[in-house]
Amino acid sequence: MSPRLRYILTRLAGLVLTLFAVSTFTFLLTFAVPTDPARSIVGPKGTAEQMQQVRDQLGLDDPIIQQYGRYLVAVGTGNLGYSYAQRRPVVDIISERLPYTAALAAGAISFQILVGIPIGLAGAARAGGAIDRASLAGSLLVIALPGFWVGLVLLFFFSYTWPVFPLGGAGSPLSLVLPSVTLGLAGAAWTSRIMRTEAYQFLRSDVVKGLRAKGMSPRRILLVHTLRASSGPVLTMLAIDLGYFLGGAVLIESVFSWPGIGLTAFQALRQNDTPLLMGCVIAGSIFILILNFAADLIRMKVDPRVRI
Amino acid sequence: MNESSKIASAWEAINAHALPRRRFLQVAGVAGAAATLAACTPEGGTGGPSGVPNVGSNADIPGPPWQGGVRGGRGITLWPDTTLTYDPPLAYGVGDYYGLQNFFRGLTFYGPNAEPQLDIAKSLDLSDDGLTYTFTLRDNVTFHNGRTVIAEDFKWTFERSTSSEIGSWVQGFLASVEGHAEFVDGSASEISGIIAENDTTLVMKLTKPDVTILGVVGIPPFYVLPREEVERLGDKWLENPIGSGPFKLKSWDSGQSIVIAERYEGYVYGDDLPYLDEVEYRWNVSADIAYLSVAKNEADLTFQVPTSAIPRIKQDAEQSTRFKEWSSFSLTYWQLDLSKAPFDDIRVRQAVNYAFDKEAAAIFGYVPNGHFYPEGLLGFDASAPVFGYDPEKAKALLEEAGATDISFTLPVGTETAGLSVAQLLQQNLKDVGITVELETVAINIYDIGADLPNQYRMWNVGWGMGLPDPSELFSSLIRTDAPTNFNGYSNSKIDELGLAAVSEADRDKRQGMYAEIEKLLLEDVPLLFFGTFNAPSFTSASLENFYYEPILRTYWDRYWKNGS
Amino acid sequence: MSGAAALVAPAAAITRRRGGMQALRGLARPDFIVGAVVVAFWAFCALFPEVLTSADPTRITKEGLSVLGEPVPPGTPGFPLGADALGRDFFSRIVYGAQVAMIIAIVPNALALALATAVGVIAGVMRGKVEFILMRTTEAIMVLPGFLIALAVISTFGSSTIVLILTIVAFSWTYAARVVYGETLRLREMLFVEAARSVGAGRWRIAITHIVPQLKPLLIVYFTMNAAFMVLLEAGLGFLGFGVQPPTPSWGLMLAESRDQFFYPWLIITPGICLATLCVGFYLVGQGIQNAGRPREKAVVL
Repeated sequence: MSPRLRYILTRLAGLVLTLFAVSTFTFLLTFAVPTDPARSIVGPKGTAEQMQQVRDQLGLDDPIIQQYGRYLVAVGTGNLGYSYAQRRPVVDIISERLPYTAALAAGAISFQILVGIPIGLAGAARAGGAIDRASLAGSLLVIALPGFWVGLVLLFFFSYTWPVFPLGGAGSPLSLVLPSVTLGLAGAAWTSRIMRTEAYQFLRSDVVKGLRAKGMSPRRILLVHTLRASSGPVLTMLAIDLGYFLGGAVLIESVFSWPGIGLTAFQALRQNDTPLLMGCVIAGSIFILILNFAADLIRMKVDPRVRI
Repeated sequence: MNESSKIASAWEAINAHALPRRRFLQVAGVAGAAATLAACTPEGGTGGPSGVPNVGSNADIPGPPWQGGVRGGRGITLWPDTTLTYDPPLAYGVGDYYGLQNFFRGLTFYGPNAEPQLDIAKSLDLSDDGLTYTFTLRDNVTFHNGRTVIAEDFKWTFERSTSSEIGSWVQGFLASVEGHAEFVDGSASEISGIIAENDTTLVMKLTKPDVTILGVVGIPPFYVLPREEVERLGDKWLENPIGSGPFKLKSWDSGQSIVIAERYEGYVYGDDLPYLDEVEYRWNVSADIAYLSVAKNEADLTFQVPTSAIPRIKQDAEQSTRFKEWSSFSLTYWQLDLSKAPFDDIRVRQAVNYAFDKEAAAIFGYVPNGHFYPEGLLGFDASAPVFGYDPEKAKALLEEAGATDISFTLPVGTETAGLSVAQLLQQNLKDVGITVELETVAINIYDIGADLPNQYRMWNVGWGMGLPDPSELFSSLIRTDAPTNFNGYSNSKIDELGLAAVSEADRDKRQGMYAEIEKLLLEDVPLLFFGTFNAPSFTSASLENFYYEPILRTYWDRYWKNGS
Repeated sequence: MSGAAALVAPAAAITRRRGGMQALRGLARPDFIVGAVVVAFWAFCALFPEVLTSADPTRITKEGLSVLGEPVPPGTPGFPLGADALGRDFFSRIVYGAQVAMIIAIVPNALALALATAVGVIAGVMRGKVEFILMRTTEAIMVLPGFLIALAVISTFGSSTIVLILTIVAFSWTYAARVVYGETLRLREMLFVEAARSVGAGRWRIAITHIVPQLKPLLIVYFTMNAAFMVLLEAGLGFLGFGVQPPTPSWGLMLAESRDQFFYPWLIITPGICLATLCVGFYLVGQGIQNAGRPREKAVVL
């Protein structure tokens, strides 16, 4: 078996194991929550008989091991339980909200790429120049700003004072802009910095010296070769970021009332809707896992420093 | 006409039914209420800009004033919650409940003074002993699916709403109907006291006189449902409201949490109402965004107005005309754990009542009257001996009780007003020597329920009334074993009074009985008294005839847009 | 947190440092100095708040509110930065807010790094099964949507400071652990080649006496980067209501309280700026340490 294949399989095995661990963790957490699921389902006026009926139906009085086994099987077959508050299957709710989370993640990543990469490249090309110094200082500031605060400020100025964008929600394509910018801002700063570091090193390498000697235009060197050579760490980071965005950007979604998985999870928390909350956790973990795996594959392929 | 006399006349109207003389209330008889209307200036908007006088034939449509509107437009309302359940007996969240009467209607409806007025029932014949109600129904009321509403539908609906399977909070509301107890405990499969004699005659037999019944059938959980649709849809019924109300469901986007309702052309008063073509309900909208949206006229109504915005709104010439604070039938207080220290000692309970500076909490959107009843409700007695702010007395009581070094944890939610009051209370108690730690809990206290005394010494209870009658407060909050009586408070005298008051026909006697209950509460001090919530409303510049009434709140069928 | 993962590559490039005075001199760079000054300022606020303000940050007052119930603006006598919605002195809340920020920046940070070092070194030295279990566990935790779970855990177990600190530790030690592990492996290679030639000393001895000290520069940098991350994490939790409990002033909580207060912009802007400056300070310090003594050309830009 080639080392590469072995690497991939090992990572896949790790993925499954991790998912198993995550499920165990969420299962244990549901036990730690002090509310009684039977009470949540029958509501505040439910009688003792109603509660017992529910307990029998759901097998809540069975030994823990049995419940655990059932839980694992359920998760494995895609059944994430039934939401107390919305009275329908958790997977339905998550699949409805997923497109919104995906759109937001895509928007944020796009912003990171469109803004971070050019700035990083430009900074490396003229190291020490105006753009470089401004972007280094600016990105540092951006990273330090609390994202939700930036969101609030942007919301107030660009949706209320100068009503360019809608006030939160997901009504029109325009409403994607502010949340994406807010979510992608810190990432764009990191992207630009990493891009700058990698490009800087590459531009001073012998490879580039050789290319210049051959008479290649600086522009071509920059846009084609530098980009390609530096993309490894950047792509890796983007993949990981995408994973986290898909895991649910609770704060940003909360500020903009963006109906994604993060907001769903937070509301589930406020309504004590444990199945929905845990469902979101599992869904989020799956995305992060998959994208981390993708990041590993990218790194393997693209980054010459990684030896398998 | 001020609030109190409005309610007073309302209850006179109710008690007219209990007098030992036959009364027939025809549709025209609602003219009695109409005459009352003429004497009051309607709150909210005036006629539309075109000033077209209403020429509709149904000048006596029950409910708040409605003449003068213009057809067309869409109204948008914003809500913070996300529980989307439009099944009337199950809807409990703030947004769901107050949307129900747009999709559904029932035997009676609430008039502008919170008095029950006949709606689908066109006349009522009450027996001399006050035990048999014979409703004659209109024959031209249809469900959104086109079928005519018949008496059998009401029987089925009432049984469903109070059944054990549904397990609704209104399960006990028909307790005075014959056969209800047997139905609930399972020994009967129907409520024998509800009889559909024919398609247009519904009879309800009571076991004892109950002056609240007409009001009970006027609340949304008892609005009539089409059995074939409920059974056909099964679980999907929760998000597919099909009733006989002025609006029917157009679309339901649970991803974005938007529900759109459109005018139902077959509505019984359809010649005149509703004015709006569509109503849009948007959920999951936080208070700041809701306020800004309505301020910009991008949405038409919100009840979430950040308390910080209120002074600004009042100072703004334009916005202040669109803002109003309505008194609501609600109350809030803290239940005290009576079973152990420190609150097992009545002096400590009195002390915390004296220590709390309620007046200072008014700016957070409360009416801190220190009573158990909201003002305007039957039973409210302005002369009741409520606790005032007296920290010295509090300290003296604590010393007398030998209670030094009291400290405990107070659970709080994340909502701003409640958190602000909690911090105020925390400081007040600290000033008399009681240390309180605040703890944010995501959990609804109703979910912890009976376990509360094991976890906390004191917790906040907020209650929005579903019936404008103190019997609801009695049966849900303070009688022995009431569902929300989490601290196990029990006073047999209060139980006696409360039970008797439901059948008492004389309004003044009833007032006396409920006032006595409050006096007993103030003596026993099982709670830290506070007051009621203010209900602020903020509407857009284009929404006309906005009318708010504490029980059903919004009447989308009679608002209109003025196109501005 | 996207940045932390990215630190893996550059941080691994840290080589042995020259010790003592030379190292200190290497720190005389503008970024380090600016950062250190900022951090020192906030540390001063945290340690000696009484020097700056005599008002009680938790005292609800009537003077802080106008007749209409609005918070008084900055410059009102007795309220240098105005008041918040409850009439509390805002300036003093900002100053005392630094205490929460610094505690969060230091305590969970140190604990997390201690845990990370322990796990990383043990995994790197022991290899085999122990390594597998430790590293897989680490990855499993890294994969969880930490913020969500932190919310769930805090709402379950209550929002005391201990729970808050432990939760923050639980979801941030993993990144450093990975890096420590990688670095331990690398150092191990170098050391055991030498050790093969020496006699007697067991591998644990080698680990503790040689590897751990080598990790110090890495850990210091991580400490500063993590400090910012943790402060922002607590601010985020506080914004949703699950951080430090009221009435204790934390900048994140203050932002949550001021969310509706757009008419009183000082309430929204100030805590945000404080958070930003503190984090910038930490980052600059970290960057300064990392680049200490390096010629400009080879500086690592984080």
